[in-house]
Order: sequence, then structure tokens, then C-alpha cells
Amino acid sequence: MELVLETRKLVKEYGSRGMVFTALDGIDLKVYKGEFLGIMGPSGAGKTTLLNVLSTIDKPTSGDILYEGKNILNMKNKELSIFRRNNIGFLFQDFNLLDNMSVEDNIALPLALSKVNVKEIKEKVSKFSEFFGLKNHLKKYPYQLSGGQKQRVAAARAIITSPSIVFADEPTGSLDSKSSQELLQCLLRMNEELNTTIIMVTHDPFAASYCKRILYLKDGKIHARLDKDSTRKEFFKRIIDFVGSMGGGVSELL
Amino acid sequence: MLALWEVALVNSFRLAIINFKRNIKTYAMYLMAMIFSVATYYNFVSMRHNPQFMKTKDLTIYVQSSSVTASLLMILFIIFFIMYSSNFFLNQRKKEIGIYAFMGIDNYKIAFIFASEGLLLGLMSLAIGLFLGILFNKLFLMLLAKVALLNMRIDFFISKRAIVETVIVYSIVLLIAFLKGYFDIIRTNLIDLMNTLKKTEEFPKVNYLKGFASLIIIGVAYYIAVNYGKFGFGNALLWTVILVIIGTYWLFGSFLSMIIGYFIKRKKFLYKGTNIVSFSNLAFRIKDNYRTFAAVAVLITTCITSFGTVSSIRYFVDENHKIEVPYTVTYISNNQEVIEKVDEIIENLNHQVQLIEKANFLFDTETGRVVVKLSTFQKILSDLNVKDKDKLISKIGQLDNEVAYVERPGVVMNMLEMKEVKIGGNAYKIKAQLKVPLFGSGVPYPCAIVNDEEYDVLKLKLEEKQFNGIILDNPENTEDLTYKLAEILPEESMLYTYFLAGVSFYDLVGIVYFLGAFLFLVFVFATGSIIYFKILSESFKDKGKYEILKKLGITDIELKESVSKQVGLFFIMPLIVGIIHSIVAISVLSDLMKYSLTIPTVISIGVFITVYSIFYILTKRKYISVVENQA
Repeated sequence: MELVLETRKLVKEYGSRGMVFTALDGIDLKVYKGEFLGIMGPSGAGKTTLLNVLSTIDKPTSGDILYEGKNILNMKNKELSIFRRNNIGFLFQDFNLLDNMSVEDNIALPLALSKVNVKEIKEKVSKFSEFFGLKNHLKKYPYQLSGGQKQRVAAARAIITSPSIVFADEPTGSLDSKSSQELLQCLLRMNEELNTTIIMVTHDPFAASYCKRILYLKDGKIHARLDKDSTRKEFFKRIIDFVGSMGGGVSELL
Repeated sequence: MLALWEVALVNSFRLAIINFKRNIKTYAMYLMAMIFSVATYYNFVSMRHNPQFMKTKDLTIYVQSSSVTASLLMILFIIFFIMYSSNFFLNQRKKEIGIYAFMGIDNYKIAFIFASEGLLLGLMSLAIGLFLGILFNKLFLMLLAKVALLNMRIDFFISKRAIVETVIVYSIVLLIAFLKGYFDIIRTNLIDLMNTLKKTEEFPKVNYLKGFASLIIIGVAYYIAVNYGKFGFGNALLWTVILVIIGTYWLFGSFLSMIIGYFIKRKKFLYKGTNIVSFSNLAFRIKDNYRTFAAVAVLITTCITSFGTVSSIRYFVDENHKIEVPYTVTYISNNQEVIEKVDEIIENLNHQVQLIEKANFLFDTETGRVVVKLSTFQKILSDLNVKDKDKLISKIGQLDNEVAYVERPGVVMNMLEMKEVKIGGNAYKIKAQLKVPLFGSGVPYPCAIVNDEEYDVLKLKLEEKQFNGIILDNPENTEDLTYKLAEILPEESMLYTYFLAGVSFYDLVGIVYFLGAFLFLVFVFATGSIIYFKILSESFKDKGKYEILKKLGITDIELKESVSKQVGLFFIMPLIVGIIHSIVAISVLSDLMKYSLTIPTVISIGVFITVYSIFYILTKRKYISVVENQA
């Protein structure tokens, strides 16, 4: 399998001398093409920090991050911005749509910034809006959409550049259960039909059960790893059992 | 953040001071504008209390009236400016006020803290402004004297009355602003305070009817202005102003949405780099901003038009001055003794002669016209080095039973075109009507230029006289000379000097011009600060948007480009409208004065754009720093 992302001894520390807090403590990670990786863990385990560092929003204190064999830590600011725009897609808990742009423009934004040919942009917008069932909402503005629809717009925006990885940070965090399920189905289809690589941070075992593989983070280290080998329902059960065994108490995490 | 018990202990005024120190950077612009306005106000007022200006009797009325007008305009500006900026500051800090409210401080106390912060700022700028005003007062008056061609020495002078007046006026204004701020805060609700920046914005509905109506209204206003003859000047002026203001508001309220909506639909344009960001931001803000756009456009129009007017008048007067006073001294005499005496007096008073012009002419007492030989006319034109003299001479060409007709010096507009002129009982066809310097106002008659043979014929019927014109090196200094010459020259010599020409009217024009130019600067400043504050409050709303964009991978260069575009559009739209309005206004003025005002118009627009661009750069920089700052 093709290696997309690799990290070596990734460390991230916050604070200054004497008061150092280690958020990531030597993470070694390999992500292959077409993976759907879940990252779980209790609050403060370093999930979001890991995601931010992997997605080039934040810089690690030490260690290496390689995208398709290329070390991104050597890149300059501008190079990094363009790399981010072309190779990484994002889904945030609070959608991060621009509320002064129509759905159509929101989806087109990354390509428009890269000055891609208008015809190509329009084709892609139409292709992905169909894929995510947004065809009838293209002229609407985010404030006219439901939470689930908004997150699907964000998903369409995330993959319009055909990124090598899509990062999703608690994408179901502000959705009700029905919208969550819809969105997760979308992500799954993205993963299976478009062969998109997805890394999703979540503390929701239900959301996590859509992943193919789960890494459990604790105190900045990879504490455990779960692979999906059966149906989603059974995987869900295994996750709940595992989280329960970690002592956190499932009810707290649900 | 201070803890609750601390807040309870610290008294309110100290809290105001702490706040003030923390926000000094935000206030920098406000302080500058306020200090500038106080200093200007003091200078305007001190003008009418200056003993040296009071001494010059014929100046007093002009100085008094222009000082009163200018200072009144300043007060209007100050009130407008304080109200505008205090609204800005309130909106800016509603969240902060909300936090205080959350901590359990009652509205009255919060209101007092924030209103006294404004008062503190005001008092500070009053003190600094007064100090600077006094410091630069001498410079101001020296400039005034220079521009108005007043020949006087200016001493350093502190006018107690002007200080008192400035302090009283500003204290009243500040007190009103304090009370307004105080009651504004008392009336706000906690929930509004917390949510101000989070309000969701909706795409404005486009009103096509209003959009097109605005164009029609402005068109009608222009039509009325240009055809002021039909409607009567007063009526035309009133209706033009009303219609232009309404039209401008609708233009920005509706027509602009239409245009921006069009660009947003044109994906070929929109999906080109940062256009998508700047235009989307702009589109959503029109509803909030169109009043500012319109107000700024009207202010720009006022600015450019009034500056254009004063500089046009000055330009006009300058041009006219060349025609009215081409020489320093003129008199009519062919008595050699008199002429020698005059030369002697000039020499005794240490004047250097630059040109002596002697010319014969005929005077037709019946019609009050002067007749000059073509060859004499050509010689005078080249002696005076008149602009376009070759063109004029070739335009006249050979005169054959025809005349070239030069208007009486001092004529502002020629109402009717003349075809024929009668001289010495003969009728002559007019070949060309001219406005050129010839003898100046010393010979206040129209002049007919005939060919040399015709002149000799007319000489038999009319009396010939000799004109003497002298140009000296220091025309401003001819008071003594005038009195001395008046003693020896008989009345029929029609003595005329630079000094006689220069008293009343030119002084007034000079003073009006200077104050006009100064007020122009103040208003440019006002316009600039209004946009500055408005855009700055935008920047805080746009911060979140740019943060999202950064996560999506917008580069720093693209961010700057996008901001430049967005802020640039904000600046340029009212500018374009304002310039078009003022060009129409000035063209009407030019029509009224029968004078091309292209040069003063271009200059005033150029000056405005220069100062305005500086504001653009400042605003853009500040915006970028707000948006880039993560905290």
C-alpha cells in the first residue's frame, strides 16, 4: 500500500522552561492511501494537538512529518499555506464556512484561490455537490442550511482539491444524531468510493465505529490500536468495551 | 482581567484611566484628529482677536466674518466627528462592557467608567491641541498673510480670549458627548452587549426599482444643475442638492448591491484568486455600510467642490489681475516734463524699472472707446509677454475695414456677442473679441484695434493721447509712490498703480482662499477618519473569516491582496461618485463665470486624492494587523 503520511518521534511541548507540558510525546504514525483512521482519547490526551500538527496548522517541537516522503517542516510559510490548500482538506466541529458566501462559492473557494480554470471549478462543484446531495442548495447561504447540510458543504469544500488527506476534528460534535449518521455515511462513501484518506478525531464511539482503524491516545502517546475486522456494529461494541476498560467510564464519553 | 473584588475596590475613575492606557493605540487616530481640530479651531478664533489684524481697518470685516464662518464649520465637524467616533468606540467595546456587567457592576457605574474615558481623551486632546495651536499660531497667520498678500509683520501672540472661547466651546461639546455616551450605555441590555459581534449577517435583498431610480434621480439633478438658467439659480441649487443626496443614498443602498451581485454571479471574475473573498465580504456589508458610503461621497463632493470653488475664484482673480493690472504704474500724459518728473520720483524711491511702455491711442468720447493701432497692439503683446500672443496675432491677421475688440478690463463675463462697433461715426465689423492685457484698469474702456492706415484716418476726427505704463520690480511696495505721484499728476492723467488695484478685493479673496484651503484639509481629515473608523470596525468582524481562510491555506500575500482590494473598494467607490458629482458642480460654476476651471479642478481633485490615498494606506495596514493578529 502507498504511504501518504508518516511521522517520526513527533513531540509537541507547551510552555517555557520549568513549566513544560508535553502534549505529544514521541508519536510514530503511518497512514496509507485510502485509510479511514480514527483518533480517540480522553480530554487533554493530545488529540487536537496531533491533528493540528499533522495538518500543518501548528508546528511540532521536534520530530518529522513526511507527506508522500516529503518533509513539510522544511517548508516556508507561503509554501506551507499553498501545500495546505492543495493537499489537505479540513472538517471542523463548527463547520468554518464563510457565511457571506453562497454554498457554491464556499465549495469553490480553495480552487478559486488557486486560480484554477473557471470551467473546471464549476464541473468539480457540480460533481461534489451531487455526491453530497447539495445540488438544490447551491445558491443558498450557510445561514439558510441545517447543521448537517453545513457540514456536508464543508466536506465538499474539503475534497474539492482532491487532497491527499482530509482531517476531521469532531465533525459530528455539533450535530444531532440523525445528521451525525448522515454525515458519517458521507465520509464513509468519500472513503470507499473516492478513495479519500481520512483522519478523524472524535470521542464519540459511534462515530469512531465508521473508521477502519482507531488509535487511542493517552498522555500524548499512542496507547492502543483497534482494527476493524467485522461489521460496524460489532466494532462499535468493541470500542465501547475498550473505552470502558480504560477506566474513563463509557457514560462520560458518550 | 481584574478579579471581582479588585474591581469593587478600584474606584471607577481609576479604572477609566487603566482602560485608557490599554486602549491608547486604538485611540491614536481619534486623538490626532481631535488635537488637529482643536489647534485649528484656536487659530481660526485667534485670527479675529489678533491686534495686528485688528489694526488694519479695511481687513477687520473680512477677517471677522471669515473667522466666524470657519470656526462655526469647525464646530459642526467636531460634533459630527465625536458622535461618529464615540459610536465606533462603543460598538468596539460592547463585549468588554458586557463582561463588566457580568461581573456584577451596575450599568450606571459602567457607563460612568466608559463615558469618563471619552471625557479624559477629550480633555487631553483639548490641552495638547491648545498648546500646539498657540505654538503654530504665528506660522498660521504668517501663511495667511503671505497667501492674502497682506504686507504686515506677524508677532507671536497668545490670545486669552481665543483660549477661553476654545475651552468653553469644546467643554460644551465634550460634556454633551459624555452625557450621550453615558445614557447610551445605561440603555443597553446585557444580552445585546454580549452578542454584538456574533450577529449573523444576511445577504441583502436587492431593490432593482430603487437602484435604477437612483440613477434617474441623479441624472435629473445633473440636468437641473446644468440648466440652472431655466429654473432660476436658487431653485436649481436647492433641488440639485436635495436630489443628489437622495440619489447618492439610493445609489449606494441599491444600485451598488446590484453591481456587486452581478460580480458575484459572474464566476469567471469571482473565481480568480482573492476576488471571491473581497467581493463576498463587501456584498454582505453593503446594508451596514451604504450610509457611510453615501455620507462620504457627499462629503467628498462638498470638499472638492468648495476647494475647487475657492481655488477657481483665486485662479480667476489671478487671471483677471493680469488683465487689470499689467503694469505697476500707468498714467496718461504726453507732457515730457511730467514724464521726467514721474521717472525721477520712481528713481528716488529706489524702485527698479523693468519695462516702460509708451503707446499712442485715440479716445472716442462719444462712445467711450479707445482705438489702438495694430502695430502698437502687437508691440504691447510682445512687451508684456502675453500667453499665446503669437496665436492671437495670427488670429487677428490683417485688418481690413474690420476691428479686433478687446473687452474693458474687469469685465467678468461677456453676456452678448457683438457684431459691429461704431467709432468716430464709422461702423466696423468685429473680427475677433479678445480678453488680453493692454492698458489695464487705468484706462477702463473697451478698445478697438484697427490697421495703421485706418488709424491715421480716425486720427483726424479723434483726440490722440499718450499712454505710459511702467513695470517695477516690487509692485507690492507702491503705497508711498502712489501718494507722491498723485501729488504731481493732474486728474486727467488717470493715475493707476498696483497699490490702488490691490487693496480690498484681493485681500478678501486671499483670506477666503486660505481659510477655504484649510477647511478643505480639515474635511479631508474628517472624511478619512470616518472611513478609517468604519473599516476598522469591519476588520474586527472579518477577523473570524480570515482565520478560517488561513486554515484553508490562504497565504500571507493573498491575505494582504484580499484586504487591499476590499479596503480599496471601500475607499474608491465613494471617491468616484464624489468626483463625478463635483465635476458637474464645478462645470456649472465654470459656465457661470465664463471661464475654464479645468486647472483648479484638476488640482483640487489631485490634492484630495493624495491625502485620501494616505488614509487608504494607513487603514489598510491597520486592517491587516487586526486580521493577522491571532489573539
